[in-house]
Amino acid sequence: MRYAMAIDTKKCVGCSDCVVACQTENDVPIGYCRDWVVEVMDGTYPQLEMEIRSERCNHCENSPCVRCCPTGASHYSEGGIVLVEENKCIGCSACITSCPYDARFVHPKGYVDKCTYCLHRVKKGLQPACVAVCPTKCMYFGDLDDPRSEVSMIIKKRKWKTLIPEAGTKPHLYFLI
Amino acid sequence: MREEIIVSGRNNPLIDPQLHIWHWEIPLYLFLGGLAAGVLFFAALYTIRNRENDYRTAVKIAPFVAPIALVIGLIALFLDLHHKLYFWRLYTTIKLESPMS
Repeated sequence: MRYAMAIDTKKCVGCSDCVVACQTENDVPIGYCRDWVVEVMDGTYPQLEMEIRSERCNHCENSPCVRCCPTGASHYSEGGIVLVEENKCIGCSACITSCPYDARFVHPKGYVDKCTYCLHRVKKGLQPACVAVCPTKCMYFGDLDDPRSEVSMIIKKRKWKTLIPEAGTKPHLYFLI
Repeated sequence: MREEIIVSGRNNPLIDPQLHIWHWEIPLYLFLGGLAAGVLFFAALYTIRNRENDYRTAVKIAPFVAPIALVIGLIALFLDLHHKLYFWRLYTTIKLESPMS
């Protein structure tokens, strides 16, 4: 099993509903966020291009954060989801430095926290909070190993990119372009 | 021109507005660690070359700096941790890939 998410940058309007849904679902402390929305403006007037992306942990297959964790608190869980075990984490911040996507932060309680692809919901057969709540239905979540899952189908059909591919992390978060 | 804005207003401490994770503790630890290593290196060098009497301070007194520097450095390293009570996990795991381990 390889869980992955695809986000349609052509459909996303940048409403930040996913951010609020994540904060509510996962009890993210006030002032912190596990996902965020980026607006990119590129080009020279009048040839301007805008892209809106909802970014979060990329749950890389070759994660620098898992590699550099000295205690093994960062680990690959079910379906390749990268998780942090709270009572193994010493809060040394090595993983925060190593993450090319800035997806991690130190929880006020001391351990490092990040997106979990809502594994507690996925285990129950539900979709991650951000995907479930998206008003434009621009996010797709599923299993890459299952050729009939929503993600596999949309990735086959559409052009996509991953963020910072030169880091060699093999992300499981695809942006459809 | 390329402009990237986080429109949902991310403001995670230590990460925004710019990555700023390690404070004075880590530079202090690195400095003291280097100091201890250097002091011991020269003490050993002069001992091996039989020149203890020419460099009495370096060989007889300076090596005492090393353990003190290491203790202070390790205290600084401990202070830097955010989840301090779990520091013993460092001693129960061996991970060759991790530069911190």
